[in-house]
Amino acid sequence: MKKTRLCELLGIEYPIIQGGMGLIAGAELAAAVSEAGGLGIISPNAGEPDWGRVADNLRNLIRRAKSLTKKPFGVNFPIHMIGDDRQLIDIAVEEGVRIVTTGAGSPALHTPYFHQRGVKVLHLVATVKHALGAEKAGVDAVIAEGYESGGINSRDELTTFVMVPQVVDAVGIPVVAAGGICDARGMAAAMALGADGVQMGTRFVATTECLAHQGYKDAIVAAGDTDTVITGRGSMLVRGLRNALTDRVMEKEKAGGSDEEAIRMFSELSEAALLRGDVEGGRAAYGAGAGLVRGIVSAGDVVRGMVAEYDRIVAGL
Amino acid sequence: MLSIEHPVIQGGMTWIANAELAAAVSEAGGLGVISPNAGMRLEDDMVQNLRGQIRRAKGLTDKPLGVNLVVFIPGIEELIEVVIEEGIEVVVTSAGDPARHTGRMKQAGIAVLHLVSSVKQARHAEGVGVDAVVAEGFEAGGHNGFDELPTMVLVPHVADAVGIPVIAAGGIADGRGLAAAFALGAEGVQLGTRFVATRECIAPQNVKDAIVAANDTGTAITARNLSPTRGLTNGFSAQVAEMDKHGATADELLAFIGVGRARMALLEGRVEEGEAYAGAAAGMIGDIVGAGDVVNQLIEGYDRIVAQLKEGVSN
Repeated sequence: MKKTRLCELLGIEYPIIQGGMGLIAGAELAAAVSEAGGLGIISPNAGEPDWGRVADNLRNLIRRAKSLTKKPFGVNFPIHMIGDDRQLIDIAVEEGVRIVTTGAGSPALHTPYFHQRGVKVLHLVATVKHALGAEKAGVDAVIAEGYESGGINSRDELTTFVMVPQVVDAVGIPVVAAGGICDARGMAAAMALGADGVQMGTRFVATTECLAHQGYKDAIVAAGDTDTVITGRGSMLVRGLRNALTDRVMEKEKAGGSDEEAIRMFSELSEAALLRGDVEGGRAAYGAGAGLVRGIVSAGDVVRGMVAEYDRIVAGL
Repeated sequence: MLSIEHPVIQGGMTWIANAELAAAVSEAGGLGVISPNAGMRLEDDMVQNLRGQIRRAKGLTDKPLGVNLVVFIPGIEELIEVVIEEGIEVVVTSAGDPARHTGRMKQAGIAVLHLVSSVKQARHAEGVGVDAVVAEGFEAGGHNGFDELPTMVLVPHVADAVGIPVIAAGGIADGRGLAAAFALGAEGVQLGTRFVATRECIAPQNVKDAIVAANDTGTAITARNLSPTRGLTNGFSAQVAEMDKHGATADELLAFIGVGRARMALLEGRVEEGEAYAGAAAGMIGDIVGAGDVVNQLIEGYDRIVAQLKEGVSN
């Protein structure tokens, strides 16, 4: 696999980004992905459910990752979580982070601040309109994340397969495809659709370095094609494992129950699934490609395996 | 397997997959597929309509043709006999158990392709002897599987699960989609919406124009609890969405939708009031061209993209 313009932009070898999954994208995972030539991303609250302690947590994570790799890695900032408070951003900049991913909020809010400090910004989008707005706000690349992806999703429900080519046609900056990509076939498809690289979350959860609970990793490996479900339509769309909790939420939704009620049923239950392994009673977000994840391997092996397999698939087209 | 030149199948869209469209696709080296109710009135005889459509198509091309059969509809046996009598080479079946009629058609020398939307359905179809499965993702127009699996994840899952060829459908409109489908493990593609926006399709001009005008967010799923259906967002879809939101029952929804609601949009051209089936690929369709041009552009686009991808790999 040769370098794409995304690799040049980020100073990485392969255009493979590990998603900065909330609570579980820790230092060891990010460092392992970056060491293998991809781009690892840290989530500020990895391993720390108490958002009040997230500042120290982020600093420690960055320092730990830096002790494990000299290669670039990034930090993910969900804008709805940090708002206009730049404390976390300043910590990342002080500690030498030069790449961030942002999402769930206006890219105009922090992008100029990042750029003044030499930080590259990749912004998550779910429609052509979002992508055009992000490009106008000056971001360096967009991550076009489809309906297949795990966790919080856009109400527009555009799938990776149709969103990526339309975003590629609309913007001039690099486009990273995300959602439903779990192996080299998905990567080759994304590149055929015009993407400059891919971001994967679920595939990187099922790795030895990810700090997620073993029960949660095992649930991903055990998942079949129909084991994820969308809840929270009309309020906050979330894709995750179909379990006792989602069954209860969906019953309420079907009966026309209030959106607030569904959100309340979910709040604080991510931690139960992701960090404590309660995959029946907790909110176990993961992507629709989970059924394609067949084993728990090291994050470096994920990157290396994808690269080798990608070349083989493209040669066979 | 289908004796066609290009692995491109035109979806047998209800009401509007007519003889001229199917013949043009087959003439260009793909596989054109006729819908038994193409162009007919609600009160017409579907068996006679199908026979007429097949004969017209056969008058326009000597190449293989297909017919789409919805398994659960009453009178399916008669339609199958017409297909056999008129010498159709390929049948695409959907919405029903493939165990019921695959044997009869295969006995008559017809290649049977069955539409699936999950691994379980694909394995079952393979088990009852179909020749290939059409793995149709959540992006597709019209009635969709309850599991809502998008093409990106459905195709590799199905390709891993079955030994027979997998044809990808849903969200494909150009050579990029064709190349992506092949990368995911498909051996062919089926396109519906792209073929509606062609000169040969009998859908009225304003339906074609509405597809061309649609952008990335121009389609939506409605009636999730009844039968998830994708179409252009319009007055009809807004009303159904509103009913869904307030917990409307299946009977209430059925009463509102009524009979012939899709025909109203697709054949009568009442694109605001009718159920205007269209796939999520509508946003990528920017022109109305000949159906043969669609096939040629798909193949040219595929070749160009694959050449680019090959340049990007080592050695």
